[in-house]
Parts: sequence; structure tokens; C-alpha cells
Amino acid sequence: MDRTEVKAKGWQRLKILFHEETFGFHPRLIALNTVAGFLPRHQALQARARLFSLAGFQIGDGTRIAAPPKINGGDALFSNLVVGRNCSIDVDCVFDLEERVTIGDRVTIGPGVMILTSTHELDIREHRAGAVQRTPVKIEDGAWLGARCTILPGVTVGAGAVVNPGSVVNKDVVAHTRVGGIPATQLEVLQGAESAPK
Amino acid sequence: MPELSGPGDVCSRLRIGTYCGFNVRTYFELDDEIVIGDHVAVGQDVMFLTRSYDSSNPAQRGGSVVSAPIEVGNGAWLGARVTVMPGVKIGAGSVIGASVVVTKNVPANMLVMGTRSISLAKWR
Repeated sequence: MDRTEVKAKGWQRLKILFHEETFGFHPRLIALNTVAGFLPRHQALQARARLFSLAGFQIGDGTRIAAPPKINGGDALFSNLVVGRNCSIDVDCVFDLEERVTIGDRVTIGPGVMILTSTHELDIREHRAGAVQRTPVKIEDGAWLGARCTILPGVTVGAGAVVNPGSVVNKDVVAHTRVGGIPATQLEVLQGAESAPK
Repeated sequence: MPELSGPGDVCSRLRIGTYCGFNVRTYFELDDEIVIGDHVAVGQDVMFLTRSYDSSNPAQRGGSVVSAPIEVGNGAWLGARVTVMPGVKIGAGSVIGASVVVTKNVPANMLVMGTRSISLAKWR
């Protein structure tokens, strides 16, 4: 039994096939990556962020992007990334924009961070990765995601939280705590929660 | 191609010994010194990070930069996708398994895989 097989016939089938083959095609994104590709990595950080907001992403003032992140997503790709002010995004990040990724103000994202918003339902044993499920991700103000951490779909990283490098976050992170490990667990409660701006 | 990044004169902060081997896409973040000994083997996608942040500011946990040097001893072997964090010293003859994040100093002749490590001192 193959559930991935398209059941429709004729013209309908062709339409489904066409959508499947082209839904991830964004000429504007290709243009953006071409233009941003001329900027040397680790340089022109604010200019790159400006280019991204020119292309249609919502990116706040003072945000710095060290290298263009790898971006993929469906029709609403350009409205699915919202970045606040004075954030810093390091090189080689991967943003899966099937659903909304909201990044607050003053967030620091380390090199190689992967933010995922889509996963599969667990299906029958012949085909475990079933229908695609999409859930938004939120990174709140002042958080710091360490190098090469992975944020799984549906996770909210609280304000002022720190995610240790290399960890895989599969559930919400309480504000002003440090989490780490695979899967990430709470390691410490950080100081200064009461003096953080609301 | 390896990638070097950091402020100012990055080249002066990287020292690599003789007979080292680097696989593709090694990433050196040269905010501080990275010293690599002789006969070191480095796998694909390895990151040497020397920049961290002092997470004391609750408004911006990644606010103020702190940097610390990295040292890799002679004969060490780092697997693919290893991430070496700031201030770490990897001892001579140590082996780091694939996709390990090295946050603490590794003594000489240790094999680190996942979160566990065993001694290789009796191995030859």
C-alpha cells in the first residue's frame, strides 16, 4: 500500500503534480540569494539584512545577518519570517518557513542553527513519515541560540533563554533558563529575570 | 574550502602544525587564537568556535562578546561535524567522535563519543 501515490486522475492529477513540483519555487528568493551572494560572508551584515527586508521578509532595524540563511517554504514564505530589531544571525543557518517563524528583539542566533516548522505525522508501518504537519516556532526577546542547535516545530523559546550549542529543543523553553542536551533539558535558572524589559 | 572569520588580522591567530589533514568545510572563528598541533586529522564540517557571549544581560543574553583560545594537541583526531567550543584544550592523541560538541577540556589519549568517553592510554 502506498499512500504517497496520487489518487486523482487526468487533469486533476496533472494539477497536483504541478503544485508539488513548483510550490517551493520563489523567483524573488532566487534573486535575493543571487544579489546577497555578492556580499562577502561575515561582512556587510546590516546591508544583507536590508536586502532581506527589501525582498519582502519582515526584518527590524539594526539586525545583522552574517551570511544568507538557507530558506525553504511554501506559498507564504515571505510572510513566514518575522525578525525583530537588533538581532544577530550568524552563518549557515537553516530556516524552514513552512509555517511562521517569529524572532523577537535582541535575539542572538549562532552559526549553523536550524529552525524547523514542518514534520510528519506518524503513519502506518509501510510508510512511517505520513502527512506533513506544520507548527509555528517563536523565539522571544533577548534569547541566545548556541551554535548548531536545532529548534523543532512548535517550540517557543522564552525571553532571555539560552540554548546550549549542539542541543535539540523539542519542547518549550521557560524564559530566563539555560537548556542543553539531546533532547534539551533545563540546566540552570539564569539571573536577572526581574530586570529584563517587558 | 575552510572558512576563517573574525575581527582584524585573523591569519595571525591561526597556527597549524605539520602533517595535519583537514577535510572539507572546516570553520575557524578566529576571535581568539586557535593552535593546532602536529599530525592532527579533522573531519568534515568541523567548527572551531572562539567567540561566546556573557549571558548576564537578561535583555540580550547574546550581548557582550567573550572570547577564549582553542588548543588541539599533537596527533588528535576530530570526527565529522565536531564543534569545539571556546577555551577548550584537546589533549594529545585524543579522538573525538562524530558530531560531538566539545565544551570541556579533553585529557590526552581519550576517546569521546556522544556524552561518554573512555581512555585510549593502553591502546598501543
